[in-house]
Amino acid sequence: PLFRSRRKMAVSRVAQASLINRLWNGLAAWTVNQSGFQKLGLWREDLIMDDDPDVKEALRRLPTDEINLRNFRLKRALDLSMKHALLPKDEWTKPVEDKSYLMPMLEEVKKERKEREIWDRQ
Amino acid sequence: MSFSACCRIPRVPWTCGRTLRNRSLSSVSLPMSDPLPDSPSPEPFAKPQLHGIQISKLENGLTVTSLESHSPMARVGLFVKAGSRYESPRILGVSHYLRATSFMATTDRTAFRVSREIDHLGGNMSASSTRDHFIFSAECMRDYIEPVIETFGSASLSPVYHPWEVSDQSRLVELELAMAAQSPHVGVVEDLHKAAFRFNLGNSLYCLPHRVGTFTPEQLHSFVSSHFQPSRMVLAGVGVSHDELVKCATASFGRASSRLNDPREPSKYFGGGEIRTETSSDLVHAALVSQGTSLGEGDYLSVAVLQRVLGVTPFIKWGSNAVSSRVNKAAVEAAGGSPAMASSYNASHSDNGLFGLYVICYAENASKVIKAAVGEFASAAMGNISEKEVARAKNQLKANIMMNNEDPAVLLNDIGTQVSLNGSYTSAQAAAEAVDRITPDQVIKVAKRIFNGKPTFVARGKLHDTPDL
Repeated sequence: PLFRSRRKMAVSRVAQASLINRLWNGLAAWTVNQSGFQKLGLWREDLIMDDDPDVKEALRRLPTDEINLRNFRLKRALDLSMKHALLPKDEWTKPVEDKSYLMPMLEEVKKERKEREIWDRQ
Repeated sequence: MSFSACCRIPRVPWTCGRTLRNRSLSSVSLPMSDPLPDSPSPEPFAKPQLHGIQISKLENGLTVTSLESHSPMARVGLFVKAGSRYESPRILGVSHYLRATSFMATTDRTAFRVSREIDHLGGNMSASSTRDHFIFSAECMRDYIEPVIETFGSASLSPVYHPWEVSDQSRLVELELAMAAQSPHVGVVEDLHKAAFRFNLGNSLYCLPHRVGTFTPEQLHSFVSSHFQPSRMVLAGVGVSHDELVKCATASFGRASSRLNDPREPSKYFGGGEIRTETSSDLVHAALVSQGTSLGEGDYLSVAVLQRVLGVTPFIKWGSNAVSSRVNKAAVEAAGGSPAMASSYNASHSDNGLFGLYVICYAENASKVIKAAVGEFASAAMGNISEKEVARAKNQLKANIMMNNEDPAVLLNDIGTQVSLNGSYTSAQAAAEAVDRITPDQVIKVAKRIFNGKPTFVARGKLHDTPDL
């Protein structure tokens, strides 16, 4: 009996976590959609601008294909913004397409910088 | 007296004062340089044990060898059989790139950490390659060889070769190519090997200029994974204790296993090749060689003696070499007043070698000078070598061997190369004794054989007067 109730608790916990998660994710998605960058065909990480030297270094390390695609998306978005237009709805960035290409590299760059700073401080 | 006699502890006279207490100090009137009459002389300072070279092999095939020289500086080197001869034709120049990217990021260290750790310990690390070997070498204080060998282990077995690191190091490769282009002698030697051996030993140590920037990390990885294996590596140390070296090697390299090895492709000397490069230089650098001898062959030392009989670079700073160098004398006389220099050229690799003449002369009288130098070689080959010349050359060779072995860096190179190619080490002493046993007949025989081999000719400069082969 103890075992069965534990399983029940586990199941309900999973379902409960999923429910809260789903609600939260839904709210997050709605907020993100409100910012509207996907209507210009941009990905979330295209918005990370390179005034930060870490971002500059991370962008330098990315393979050329990724950089070209990023630049194309940015250029297209600038063009649309100048015309005060949006992409047609079927071309908006779908969440499944919105890949994270910059953040892993950015984290590595930050890690390396921290290592240098720790060494220099010693 | 008896107390100090049966003690083994070395004593200085003033500590074994039993006898001194029995007499007044005024009766002791000896100069300071002599020991007091009743005191036993102190035991001599225990001389450090001089071992010869020690070689041991780990389970995964890594050979560890060391020579204890009791110096405070240790020099360690990792000699991998991955020189430029092992490059396949599609990835020529990859060893140059490997030299440039050797101490970059590995799977457990960033590039910054690799270089900063070594700086922190006060050591130097470098990567170089010859035609047969790729060599990681380092010098540091004796106590710090463990982190150095760890770095060797991760740099050789598990480098990462990030794409941006590889493309950043292309600048270094370009710089090295530019520096090599500045000295014509480098170009002549590379061309010589290319003409003589074509594919194997003929692979250049330098990357081809148009290939700079085209190497991908995958190509580097494939070369490293096929050639950087423990069974092809020798970890050599000078100034380290053998047990410590073995311990560090097991810790850093023990996890690697060796795959089945491709046997080394034997090199072949093709003769009759000629490479002429027209440049704008007024000085012509020309080299005429034929097949020499390889490291470890029986007549290696005879060829070295022949080299010194014919003449090498000057021994006296700013002096002329006219007296002691036959080919130089012939070249200078043939050149009249214009600058000229000739010397014998001897290159030996693991299974093949080149021997001949290297001539530098003015473009206008190149043919005269080159022919004079070759004429001198011909007369030597026909038997015109005197006993005195051979004795002189033997002494010079012995001195050269001994003096070179005093430099720990050269000694390390020597040990690593010998153990890697032969599995054993011939010390400088043994080599000098072998030199003593060489007779003029052997030298003449070797000269004849080389002179009658198929020649290869390379020239660089304004070549209007340079003869063809």
